[in-house]
Amino acid sequence: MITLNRLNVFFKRILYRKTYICMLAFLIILTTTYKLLPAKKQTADIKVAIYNEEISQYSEDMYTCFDEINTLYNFYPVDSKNELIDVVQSGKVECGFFIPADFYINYISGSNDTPIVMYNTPASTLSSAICETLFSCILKVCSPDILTYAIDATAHNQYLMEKMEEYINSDEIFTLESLADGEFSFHEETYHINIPVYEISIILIIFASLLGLLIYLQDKEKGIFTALSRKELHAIKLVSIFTALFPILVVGFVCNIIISGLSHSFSLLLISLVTFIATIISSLIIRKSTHLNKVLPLVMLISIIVIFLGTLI
Amino acid sequence: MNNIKTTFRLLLTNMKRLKHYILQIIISVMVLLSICSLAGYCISKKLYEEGTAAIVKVAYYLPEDEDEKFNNFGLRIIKELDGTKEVAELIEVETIEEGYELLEKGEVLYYIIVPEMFFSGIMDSTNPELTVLFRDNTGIGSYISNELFLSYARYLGMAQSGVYSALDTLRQYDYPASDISDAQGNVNMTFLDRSLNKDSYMEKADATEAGSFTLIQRYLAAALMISLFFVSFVIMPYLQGINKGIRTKLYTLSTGHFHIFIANFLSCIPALYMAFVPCYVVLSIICKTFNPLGLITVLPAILVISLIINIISSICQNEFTSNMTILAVTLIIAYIGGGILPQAMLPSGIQGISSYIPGNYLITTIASAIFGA
Repeated sequence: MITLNRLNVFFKRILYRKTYICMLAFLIILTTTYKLLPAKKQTADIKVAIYNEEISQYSEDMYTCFDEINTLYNFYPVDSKNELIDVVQSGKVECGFFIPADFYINYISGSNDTPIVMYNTPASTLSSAICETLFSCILKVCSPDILTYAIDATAHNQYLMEKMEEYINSDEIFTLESLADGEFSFHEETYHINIPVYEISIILIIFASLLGLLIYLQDKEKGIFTALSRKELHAIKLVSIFTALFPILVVGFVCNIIISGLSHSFSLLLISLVTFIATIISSLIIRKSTHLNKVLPLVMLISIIVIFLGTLI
Repeated sequence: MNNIKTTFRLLLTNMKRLKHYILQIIISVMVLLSICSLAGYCISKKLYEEGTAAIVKVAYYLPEDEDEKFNNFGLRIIKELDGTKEVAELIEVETIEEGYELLEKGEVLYYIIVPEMFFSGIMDSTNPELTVLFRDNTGIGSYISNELFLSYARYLGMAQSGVYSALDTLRQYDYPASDISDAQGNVNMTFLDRSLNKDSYMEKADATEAGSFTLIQRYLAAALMISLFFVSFVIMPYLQGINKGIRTKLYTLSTGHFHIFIANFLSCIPALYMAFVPCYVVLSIICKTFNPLGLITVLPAILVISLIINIISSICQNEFTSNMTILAVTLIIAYIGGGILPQAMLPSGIQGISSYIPGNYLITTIASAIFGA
């Protein structure tokens, strides 16, 4: 009966704390937001960003070539080099190409003074294959000029270029018909925006547990429990930690079931148990609320780093 | 005048009290920096997991004819290209039937049967047809390899067009046979260079190393920013140490909240600077950089951090609330400023508000101070 009364009092106490109400509300809002957010379309669209420092007929013809060959890759222009680097870093594109001014002129004459810069990340898997498509188009738009450069016959340049255009568009040269004409869809699946409710639940459980200990230590320092025996003091400590941990565990448990079914429920219970035990053990070392006040942010920081890093790794 | 005097005396008292915190500040900032840097390093290494493209297996049959030498030469070039290595694995079969078997078993996606006199046919523009059989042409792998082979075919087509155009033109204008032969070789070599020698016309750059600072430098700067914010856990008793009794006394001397805030704000700056200097030295040694000007250029960042810490400590009633608020605010500032994930990876809504939050400014200023602009 005494234990029940204590539980009742401690539950009321913890649930009146603004910090605690905020924690519970945060979890509930997060879960509701997740449920209300529309599922996004997963896309297999392979995007490639290009920044052309020089706007010339060559660069315009290159985009025309991409359209003509109906390339699998979605080459699109960006407005600056920084934007190009940003989109590659963000993983929004497979890779990015920076085409400097005078590149085309130098390429035609075989000079490598202003090379194209291909930006990729270790996650890029198709950059070399994409590069072949890009260069095949660059070669196509530059080929008449490359030809006149290769042959020292300035007087006949016009004729050479006309002939080149004629052959490029004729059936006499080697071509390969596209084989991939199956019904592959670039928009295959749908997925929900990932909100780390499970990870946040764990962090809040750890925090709540330490908050329970802090409240107990503060009460003890105020002399509220002076009349109690050592054994009863220990029981109060357990009740304080348990009552701080339990509501957040229940809410976290329900939120996780709503989001991902029962897959995380067992581990959440296990983590709560471990946290409960760890807090009791740490209470043997930390005996003053001022000490816990100093340690608490560091513990929380390490927990956040370990939990989120664990998810990332 | 009295107000200024009292504020100044309060500031002096605060500075004297600061002496007792020096060791704690240095130890804690080094511990925090180690933890945050380690986390940043792990994230930077794991953020762009090395990916592998799905390799498509392609079988081919080469006939034993006069062109075998040229066919093999061409194939060797194709096999050596980075694009081929990345996407396709070419497997030669001895007989036409063997290729069919591989295709039937699903061991290869494509089967290419090279016709007899293929190379000669390309040279004399009869262009014998290649037979390409496929098992499945609906997967992304088949689309990628198809695109690759189309690019190679385009190279070949361009080179062919160049050679034919040159021959037609030079013959039209009655050039001597030796000149025509030279020109043919020249055109061949030029087109071969422009299509296959791409490495000369292109540089590869890791986007994570591009920009003003590399990814790891940004993470180290973010780690230092977070550590400086968290130094407040140590100095919070110092900032909130003006208890009720002292406050009442200060009020009688016409010193209000604002003066206490100013005194705390100013005395917090040397505390943060003291925390910054050892971190600056350690990071400079680790990263082998030396930017003495950074010891001055970092001051605006320290002022901003000090201001944020003092605003929070003034608003919050006790140490616990202040510490937890600083923890939450710091993580939010670091996240929005690109200290946890690169800014480009953040949702567009967050990117939109990042210019109004000092996170990116603080990280960039600290990074410039340590690694140079």
